[in-house]
Amino acid sequence: MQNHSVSVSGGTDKGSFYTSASVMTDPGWYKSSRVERYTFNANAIYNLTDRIRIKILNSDSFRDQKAPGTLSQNVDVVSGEVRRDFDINPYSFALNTARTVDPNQRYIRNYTTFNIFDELEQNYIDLNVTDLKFQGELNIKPIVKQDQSLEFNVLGSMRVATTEQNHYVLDNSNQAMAYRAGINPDNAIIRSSNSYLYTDPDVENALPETILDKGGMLFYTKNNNKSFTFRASGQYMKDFGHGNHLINLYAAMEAVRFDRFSESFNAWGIVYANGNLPFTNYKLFKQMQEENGSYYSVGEYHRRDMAYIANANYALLGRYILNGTLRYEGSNQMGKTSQSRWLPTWNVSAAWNIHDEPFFQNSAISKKAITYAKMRLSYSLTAESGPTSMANAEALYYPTRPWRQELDTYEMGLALSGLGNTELTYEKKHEFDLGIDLGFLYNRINLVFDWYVRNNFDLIGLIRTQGVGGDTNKYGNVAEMKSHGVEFTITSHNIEPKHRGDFAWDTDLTFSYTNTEITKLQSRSRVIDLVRGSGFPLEGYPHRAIFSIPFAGLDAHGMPLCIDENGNVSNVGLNFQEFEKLDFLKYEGPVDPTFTGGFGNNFSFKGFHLNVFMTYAFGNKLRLDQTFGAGYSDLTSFTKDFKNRWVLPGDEMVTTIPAIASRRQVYSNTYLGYAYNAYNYSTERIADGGFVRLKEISLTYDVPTRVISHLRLTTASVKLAATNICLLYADKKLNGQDPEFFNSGGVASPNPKQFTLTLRLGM
Amino acid sequence: MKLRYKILFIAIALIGLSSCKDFLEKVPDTRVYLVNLDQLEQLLVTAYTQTNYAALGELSSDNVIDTNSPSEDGMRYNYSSYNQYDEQIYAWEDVTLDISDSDTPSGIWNGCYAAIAAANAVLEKLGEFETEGAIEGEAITANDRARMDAIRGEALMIRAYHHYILAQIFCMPYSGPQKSATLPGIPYATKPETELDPKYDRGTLQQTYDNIENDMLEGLKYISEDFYEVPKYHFNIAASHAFAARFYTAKREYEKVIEHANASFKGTKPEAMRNDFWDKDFYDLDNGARYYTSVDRPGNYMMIDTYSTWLRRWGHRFWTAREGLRGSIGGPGPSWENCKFSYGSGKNKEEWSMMPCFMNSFLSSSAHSEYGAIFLGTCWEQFEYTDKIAGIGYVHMIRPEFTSQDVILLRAEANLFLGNVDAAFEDLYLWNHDHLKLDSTANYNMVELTKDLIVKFYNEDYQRRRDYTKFGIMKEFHIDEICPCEHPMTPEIEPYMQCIQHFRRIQNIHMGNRWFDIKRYGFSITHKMGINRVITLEVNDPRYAIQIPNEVIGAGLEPNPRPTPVVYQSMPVTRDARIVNN
Repeated sequence: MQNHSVSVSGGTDKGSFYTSASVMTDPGWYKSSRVERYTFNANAIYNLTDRIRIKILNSDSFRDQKAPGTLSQNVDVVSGEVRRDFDINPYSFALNTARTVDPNQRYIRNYTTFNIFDELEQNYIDLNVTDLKFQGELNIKPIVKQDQSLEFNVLGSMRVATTEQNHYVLDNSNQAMAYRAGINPDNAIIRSSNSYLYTDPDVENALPETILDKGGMLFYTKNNNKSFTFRASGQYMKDFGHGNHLINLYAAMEAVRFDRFSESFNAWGIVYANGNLPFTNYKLFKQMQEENGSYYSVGEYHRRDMAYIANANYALLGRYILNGTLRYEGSNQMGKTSQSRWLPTWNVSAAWNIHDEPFFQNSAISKKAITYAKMRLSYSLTAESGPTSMANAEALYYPTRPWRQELDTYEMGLALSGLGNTELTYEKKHEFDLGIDLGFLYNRINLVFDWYVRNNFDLIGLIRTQGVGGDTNKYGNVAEMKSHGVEFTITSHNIEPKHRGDFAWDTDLTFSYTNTEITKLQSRSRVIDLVRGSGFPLEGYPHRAIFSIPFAGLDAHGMPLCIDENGNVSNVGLNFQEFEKLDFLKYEGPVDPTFTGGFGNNFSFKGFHLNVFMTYAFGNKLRLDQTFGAGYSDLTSFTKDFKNRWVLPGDEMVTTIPAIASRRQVYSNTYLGYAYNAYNYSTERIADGGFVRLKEISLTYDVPTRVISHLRLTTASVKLAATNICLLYADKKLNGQDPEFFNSGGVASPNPKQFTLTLRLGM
Repeated sequence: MKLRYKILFIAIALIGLSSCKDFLEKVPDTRVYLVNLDQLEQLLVTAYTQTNYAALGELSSDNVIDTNSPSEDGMRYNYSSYNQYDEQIYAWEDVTLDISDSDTPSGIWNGCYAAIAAANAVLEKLGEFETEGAIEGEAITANDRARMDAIRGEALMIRAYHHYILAQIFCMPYSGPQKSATLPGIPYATKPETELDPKYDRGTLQQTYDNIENDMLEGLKYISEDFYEVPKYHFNIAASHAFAARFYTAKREYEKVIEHANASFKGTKPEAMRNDFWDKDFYDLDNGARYYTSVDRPGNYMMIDTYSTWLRRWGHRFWTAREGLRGSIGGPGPSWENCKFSYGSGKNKEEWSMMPCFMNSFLSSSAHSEYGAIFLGTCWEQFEYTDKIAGIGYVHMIRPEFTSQDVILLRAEANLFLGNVDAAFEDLYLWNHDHLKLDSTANYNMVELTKDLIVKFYNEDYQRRRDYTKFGIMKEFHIDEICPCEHPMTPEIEPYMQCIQHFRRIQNIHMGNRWFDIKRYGFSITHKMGINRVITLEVNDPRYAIQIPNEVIGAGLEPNPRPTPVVYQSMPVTRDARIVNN
């Protein structure tokens, strides 16, 4: 990876400017993942008079990225499997493919030849992101006095962001060939079972045929976001008594206009090998219409936000500070109705600079022991509008085209997609925060400490209603959650240099603890939701809690047993859709860590800087990957766990890893697949999420000025950094799996270990 | 200097405050506000339930058996159930295993009430147009008025029909004005819901039926075909009267049944039934199913497109096999007793008689009793892709909800109870005649129906002699106990009633309507389940009313009473019960 940037700045008291341009190229951390990024920033300030200032800003960036061709994933809720068709993410491919499969060989997938390297070359996504921002700012100061000041600020900005994605599926890719497998070359058996072929329903006794005789596909999507922001604010400051009574008033209004237009287009039958010639089969359109599909789509989304803000700040004797804020915000998300449109929120806070108190200064505590002390208190009501899908203050109707059997019976329709809810309101939060800032030993050791209690209410949650209005599963403001936590940061200058270039050592420690509990939630979750790795909300438990199916050992044949919803030991798994009897599940813990933080040390000596940074997290649980199943194919990769599996009768006494089921066993127990999936979600397949990670080590050398001055440079430095080096501690059950990474397939890939060399020159 | 700043400040404040209402009224996406009649018509396009009561009705009825239970010769299969909740439905237990699937009671409840919600939104809007006297600011014209009437007619029919389906499933059968006033009905929704969690009252069954009748009669006044683009996916005139005939059959008001049946035929005889279908040979099953459910068939009055995986139960634990098959499409009948078929050879050879016209329409080339069978006309699925490449989408099953054949059997029943045996026989004759598969009749000896054949075949001695009793073709009627009527059941009409219930069972196979017939005729049926469980549904069993969805009970609606405790009988385990792998 390389990053080059050039920046120039300069100016006089009449104006100043800053311009920079950069190029970043990253050949990628795995096959087919190249990124290039170009940026340009310019910034100019003109002081028309000493009271009027104009600021003009421009910021542009363009990113060109390549990614492996991939499609969205879907989850089977009955058996709990996650699947993606045509998944060629190199990371998941490497992880999930049997080691007996030679990556250089050709195999059959989707009835046609497949080789991962070929496919990555034949099937890829090109992503272009353009982001332009133009901003102008006018600043006027009508009053500038010692004890009084007034200032107006007007800002207008416009931003355009365009994302274009071209998913190229070339002529000979597995994905394109699948659409003609069985036809070309002719094979009657494949023809009758290949679901990517088309059978014309209007022709009696028609044979399956291909709708992609030649060429490949191009899936094009484009998102265009345009936003305008206008903000006007005024600020007034007055000092009534030589710093003893200080008043600061602030008022602002802001309007944001955001429009998104998205379009997608699927081109079928592009012969890439022959000058991108379109070679489209008309039956493709017939089939699309019969399946109620379309080869293009156009979407639009508009957001309008307005906000009025007023803030007053009063400082008495420079020691007691009182602050109050009122916000009044509105948006168009509910549509034309004015109900639930406006949202008032507020905040009051107070601060006390203890170290300025006469009693403190006169007290026995020396300035050296406690140099700085401040106490902060705040109480606020904040609110969010909830997910954007929650816009049914009145009934929502969307145009739709219901599927019909015959092409000439299609009709345009309107669907009632959300019943009106006149009680809909914002999600709200009361927060109380107590903070203490302390400085010791002339601020060589600093502590920032915060303790907070949050009370979330009117949260959007699922509620089961009687359904007579048309929907038993409604979402409304029915949930409540409370949380509390502690956060502190200690900064210490352990060894301060006496002279420039002497040895110096700084330490930073951050710590935070959060505890959340859902106090009210009506929804009843299914077993499958609760045991999955992503966690699920349940009343009386943390925000996202993870549960396990109790494991009950292996039976005499090595088949996994579990406790089912009725409390019985079961060899047929259980009902993953159960939502009533959930008491049998074992609560494991939250998915999100409760303790997080970092520990950094910085050493400097004679132009060398060594930085060692560690991160840690504790208190959460992780679901291990779903590696077990009732059946495996030749392409399945087996993890090391299988080494210790049940092999002979009697092994069930010493191992908890189930046997590989024989064909006979699969046939005689039709629910064996459920049993293995239950094992995947059992108490055996959970690990502690706590870890200590050596996140970064970097060594920087600042080239001495006397050396660089010869080269007509002002600064020069060399930096060698290693990130994501290793885990110092993690649960052994993870077997090397990254505790911070949740694999969802597709383009997801874990944090790579990176080594970076940076050369920085300033002229 | 100062003045300039003041002007600037005021200008900013004005920009901020003036246009803010318009600014925030921008519609955020493609949502639509109902302002004109086109939109009301479009909303009614989706006001037909998208869930299918076929699975629920069939699994509850005697058309389906459990292949895990031992057959006559002790054979058991280890097929798993397609959905685990199928086991609860089959055992007439409360469905608690799944509430998200569209084939569950929850799915039916949501599907019907969602359709009603759309109809109510339309009716509310029509009322607003009336009071304003204008649509989109323009005065209502005569043409608008005709369209508004047609829309009102359709919306009322939709509301009546969906409440009727809900009542048929979640309530006891209609039991006459006295008793029905004591039975729980279902909440009758007449206006759009605007609160998050309002509570409703079930009312009585009598109130529910009164409301349905009012809406239906009012709707029939206005119903019109003038404005439909695709009349056969809407309540057209024939379908509306067919529904009325069905409704009055349930209420046992037989004169009205005949009146509405004739109105749906637009004469005294249906224009066409299914003859063209039976005459055709289909080698591709998709072709056959599409032909049967096509809007081009004159015998199809109205189709409803639903999402259902009902067909996928085929090859699983519960399906139309053994006596469920032999008592319906795959078994003997008065005019086709001599149409013999066989499958297998030697010891495994099975011989049976069945209507030859069904032979080509079975998914399986045989109608072997253990394998079961599918009639693809009423049970077939088609796929709609939402993501073609990922293979995700919706499974559609088209219900030929109202057909001329169904109505003619309703009219036969009405004629019979009104004492007009000849007219009833004529309707039965027509139905039977329609099924004479012309080219194969010669081979298979299916004959025209005669009164003698009916009286001979639907006779207990005869059934016993021919070893048909194990198929359970004939049932014991308790229709007068269920719903007293001035035209009671008599021994003379009994063979004809047996014939009607048998023909209706064949006519509505796989559609779920058999369950409604079982309830209103007052049949007692038995389900064998697993190795040795036998569950019997007595006449007027409280479980005739399927339990309302679990989450709806949780939200505070009164549940249906259940017999407590449920006692299950056990049958002896056959010694040589063999397990056969699938």
